[in-house]
Amino acid sequence: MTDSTVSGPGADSSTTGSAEIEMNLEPPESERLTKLTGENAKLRAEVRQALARAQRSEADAARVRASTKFQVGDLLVKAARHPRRALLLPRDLLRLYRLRRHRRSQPAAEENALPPARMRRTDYTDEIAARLLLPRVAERLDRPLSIAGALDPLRAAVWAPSAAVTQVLPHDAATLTSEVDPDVVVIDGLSAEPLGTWSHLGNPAATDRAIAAESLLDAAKSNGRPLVLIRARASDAGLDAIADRCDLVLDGPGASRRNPWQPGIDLGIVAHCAPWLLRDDGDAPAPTAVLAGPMHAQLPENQADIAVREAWTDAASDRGVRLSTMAESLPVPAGFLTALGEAGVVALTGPSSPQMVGAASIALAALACGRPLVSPHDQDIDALLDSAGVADSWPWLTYPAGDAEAAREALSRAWNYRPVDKGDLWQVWRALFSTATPPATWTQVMTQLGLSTRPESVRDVAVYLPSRLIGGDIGPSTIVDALSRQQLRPREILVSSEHHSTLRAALDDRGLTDLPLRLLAPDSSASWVRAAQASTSALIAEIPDSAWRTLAPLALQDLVIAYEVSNRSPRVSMMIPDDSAAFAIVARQGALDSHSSAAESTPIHHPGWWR
Amino acid sequence: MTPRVRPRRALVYGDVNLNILDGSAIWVQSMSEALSRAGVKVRVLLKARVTTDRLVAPLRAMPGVEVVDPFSMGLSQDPDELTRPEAIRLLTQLDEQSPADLVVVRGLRLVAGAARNERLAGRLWTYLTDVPQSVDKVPESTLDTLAEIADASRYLLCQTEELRSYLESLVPGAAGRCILWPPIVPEPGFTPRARNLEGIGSAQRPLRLVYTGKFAAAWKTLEMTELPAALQAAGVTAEVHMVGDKIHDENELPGWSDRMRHALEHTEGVIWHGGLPRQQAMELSATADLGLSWRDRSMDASLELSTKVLEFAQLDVPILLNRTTMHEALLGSDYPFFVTDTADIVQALTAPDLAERLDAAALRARTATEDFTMTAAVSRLQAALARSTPTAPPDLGERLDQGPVKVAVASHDLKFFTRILDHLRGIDGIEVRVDEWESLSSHDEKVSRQLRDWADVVICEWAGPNAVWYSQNKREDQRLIVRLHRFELDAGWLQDVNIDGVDQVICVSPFYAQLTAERTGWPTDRIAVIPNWVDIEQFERPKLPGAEFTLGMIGISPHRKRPDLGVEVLSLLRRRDARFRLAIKSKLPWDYWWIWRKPEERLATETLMDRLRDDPTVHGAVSFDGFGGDVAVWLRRVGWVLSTSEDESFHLAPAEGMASRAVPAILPWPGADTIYSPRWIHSSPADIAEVILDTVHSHAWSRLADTAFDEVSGSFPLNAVCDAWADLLAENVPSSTASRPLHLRD
Repeated sequence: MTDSTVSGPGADSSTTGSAEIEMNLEPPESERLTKLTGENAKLRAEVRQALARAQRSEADAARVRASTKFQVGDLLVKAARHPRRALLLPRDLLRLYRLRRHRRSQPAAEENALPPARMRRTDYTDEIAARLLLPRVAERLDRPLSIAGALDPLRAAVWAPSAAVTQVLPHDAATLTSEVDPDVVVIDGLSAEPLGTWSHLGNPAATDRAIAAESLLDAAKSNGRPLVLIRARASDAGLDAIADRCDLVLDGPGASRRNPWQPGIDLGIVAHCAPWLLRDDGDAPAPTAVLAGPMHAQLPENQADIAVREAWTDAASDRGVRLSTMAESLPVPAGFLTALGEAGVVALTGPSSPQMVGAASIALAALACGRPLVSPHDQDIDALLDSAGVADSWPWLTYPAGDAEAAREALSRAWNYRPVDKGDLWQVWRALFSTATPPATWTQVMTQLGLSTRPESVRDVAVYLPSRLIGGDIGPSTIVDALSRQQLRPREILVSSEHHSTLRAALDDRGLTDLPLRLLAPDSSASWVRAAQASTSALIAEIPDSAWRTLAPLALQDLVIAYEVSNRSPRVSMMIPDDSAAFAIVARQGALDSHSSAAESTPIHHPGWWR
Repeated sequence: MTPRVRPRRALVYGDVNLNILDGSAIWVQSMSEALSRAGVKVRVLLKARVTTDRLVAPLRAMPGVEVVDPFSMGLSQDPDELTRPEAIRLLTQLDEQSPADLVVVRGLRLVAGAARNERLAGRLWTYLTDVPQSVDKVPESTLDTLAEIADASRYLLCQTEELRSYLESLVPGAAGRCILWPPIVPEPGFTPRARNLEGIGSAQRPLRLVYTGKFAAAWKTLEMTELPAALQAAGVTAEVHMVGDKIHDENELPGWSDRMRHALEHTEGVIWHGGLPRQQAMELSATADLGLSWRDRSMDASLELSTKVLEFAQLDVPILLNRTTMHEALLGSDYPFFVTDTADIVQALTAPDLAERLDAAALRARTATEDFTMTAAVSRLQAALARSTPTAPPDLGERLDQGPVKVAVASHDLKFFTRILDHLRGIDGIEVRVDEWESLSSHDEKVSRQLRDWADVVICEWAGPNAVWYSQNKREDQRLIVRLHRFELDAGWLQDVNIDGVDQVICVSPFYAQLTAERTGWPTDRIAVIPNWVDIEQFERPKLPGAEFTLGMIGISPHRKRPDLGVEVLSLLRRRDARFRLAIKSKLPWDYWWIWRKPEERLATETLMDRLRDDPTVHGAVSFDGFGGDVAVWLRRVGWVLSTSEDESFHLAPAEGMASRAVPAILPWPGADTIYSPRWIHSSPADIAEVILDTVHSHAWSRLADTAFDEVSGSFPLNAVCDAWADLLAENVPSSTASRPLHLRD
């Protein structure tokens, strides 16, 4: 016993067992000792039995809590108590049903599982006081997805615009998870890295963390919430026990490729780190640094990688720029943004193996910001650039991992690259938008879990049709034709009541019977506010009159991309070359709060669709 | 005076059949040899009737080792093999005939039985196997069994630091009793010759890989046979030498054993040597460029080390193996031959500087495994024996020459005395009994009188009413020692202590010794200092990556421990470097009813928690890691231990941190400078933050931690403190100790 917590007497006094007394008294006391020993044994037996009874009761209670019957009942009670939960009740019930079905289709690990380990120190003498430990939690009603768990702060920041994200710590994990009642509970392997919030989880030297993780998993299970583990390295066998209990195991960048998954990047990084890309006339400032670092910071760096970095230091010095690294000392995500913002080239070291999941966040961020990228070959980046159709033109210079000379050469070539073509850039943004941004990647997770939650609903777009449009030259059929060709289908159409039937008929003729029309209120308020009041979608778009006849199929999607690369400005105008009118997009909530009408519109220059 | 040297006796039972040559039988043999070499008289109880003396004969030949064959001696009721209850009965019987100082037992179920045996309990050195190695797979019943075993064991022998950490965190009673007992690798008996690596990988000089052992799917032996072709495709000529004759039948992989055999017999580049005697296998291995210990990842979570890895290393052969926490701890995270799959292997073995890498890896592996030799094991064993069965220090030895010393310890709370008690009990010739007071002031007077009549020396742990009673009732010819910590000075009973009846008052720090003299007016020549102890061996463990960015506080209740100042240090740090975190190992104020009932404590706690919620510089950066005896494990991830109290008598936390090779950072509570060197004491949280930042950013943390470790090792290590207490039974400690800072002690 080495704890020095309590200096007062009697606190947690260690016991000197009765056995000790038994051994140390003189023979005349033996009769009394025999009696005491007997009583002692009897009392111990009673305590053991009482404990066993208590454990059985706890196990029963846990079984009941985990039962579908209980969970359905619990949802009904919660719905009765809280209006928000009432709104979400159908969704919750459906999720419960799907999750149950999903778990039934999984190997029956749970049935065979042994009783959970005894958790130490979870019973507080004052439970109300213990709640002081919990941070304040605010619900984000405007987010379609709620994620809680052991998270990496950078990833949490990336997911935050698309989901309500709650990071839990080992000491508040179970309680907070029950409190937040998220859609999905996540254990991110990155949080177990040495400086993570769950540092060393999976290492036997942090068994206390494993015990806390178990209680987190228990809390999620008892609330009927799905559990997801994101692996971050190949050598993470310490997390296998957690993996066995999870509903879904994903392999993020750096992990072995079994169920590869991209945690995604937020396109808003462009506004932070490369704002000139959003302007038509914007030239990049002269770069002052090469950002060099490991592709997967969680993986150990070897001597060859260090040699590569030394070669880059020399190469950068020859060009009069410095070699910068990720500013780990800055708070997340500022360190990431600062490092990327000042870099002219992003140069990454690291292992390269077809068995490893690639496309680390830093590499994706470099692509989004149009930075030349130097790295070992990475099949996920290759696939992304290929799907964007820019594999041959994009400034991605590869070198054999660990080959310092080749790495130096690649950096020199990268430095001489001309700025990326705007058309190529938009192609890359589209590829990222569809496959490597949180709404898209979390949709994949929900699909794998068999749940109906739609993370992509943050991108739902209502198209606002002013009266002049339908009543004017263009006419409903042109509009409906243009909308039906859209790659990102609108979620709803906002239209005044006078044009409702005309438009409805046109939509039905084209087979778009399930595309709803929402009626604009006939009042005098500003148009965006009226549109927002009529809409149920996250975003509202307005297409300029002149664009309808030749509306490109990518127009709506690009408008949403423009919104995201602007870092979700309240009001965005997407400018097309040689066209004085702009596409516009606003966030519904912003419009309701009158932000959109008050705010200056952020211009985003689009290269046009004729390429 | 020379210390009294005592002969030590051990009983060893492995619950393994020594007719079968496997790892557990080798373990029994090497443990017995280590004990023998450490000068211990050993009796090895056999489990099975001897059918081959391959292992038993060497045992019999070891000096001081007696093999007890219960079958030939007619001791066993079982015809060929002892059941577990029978084995325990025989161990007890052997112990009754000639008591052992230590009883070494192996195997979970056998040990569980031995732990319930009252005669053996307390002297068990247990080596556990078959413990579920993941928290979710430990049934409640196994936890109870482990708790019983821990309580009954003097030591729990752990093969790896990982297993020790795991057990200590899982089983509270195991903390402080777990010691490392790594596998012992036999010395090869020949000098491995230097390899010529010139042209390695060419047709003239193929790369030689070697595997020895069984052929099984999880051992990836089939995949190993594919390596020559995979490497050839990458331009490297390689041979895989395979030694062994046991091909497993894999029930879940029909036809696997046939494919394995076919691959061994017909694959180009694979040379199958069949089964070889151990010595020949080692000689063949020594000629290889790389040993193969590449396994299925399902085996990566094991907390045990492969002896094959260690054997290769001892032969100067680098090893190709999986990257696991344990292997990284052994070989370093940048070891070049960690692999996951065939592609990794090909990549690692086609590096242009392969020869240099092989040389460096061989040296790394050899150096890393030096602790696994018999010589290292004997030294480790001697240290453990010195603690479990200590030798009396010279002054006490002289007294013991006149006859045994009977010691009574009276206390309501022995938590700061347990290790001293263990030490005294372990000394041959000292008999210890405890007068266990129910509370500070309540006791069974009849028991106290009996012990008063019986004892030569009485120790009152805490200067409470126990000290009052004994000082007023002690025998004239009896020594009375009173230990005073801190709170007693503010209580009213000290005036009732008959100081003339007290031979010595022991305080834990010079500051409190001086304060005691001032407050009580007791003669200063009767007040001396023996500091609290720090068990250096328990705390000195490898730090985990990132430790230099983790501040630690042990014990934050009540508020005078000033956790708020710890949080302030963190905030100051994180404003400049967001990597810093604060870990708190403590009960919280609401866990103590007598603290939580005070409004000022509640207010202070609420204020602290509000800050943790509202202040972005610390929000999410503080973890409350609970309370428990597993401090040594927890300290592995802590690089700085804060002591921000308003008042302490000693505050062990910084000392424990120093013993773990963390750096202490102390605010100047009264008397701090009489315990800790002024270099660790800073005037304000801002000063502490500045020092931490400077140290970490200038990469000086590790060096400073070593300095702290050296200081604590010289100031109050457990063995020195225990020896001082043992000597105190015979003679007073010089009162000059009350005026000399502890950190200046030799």
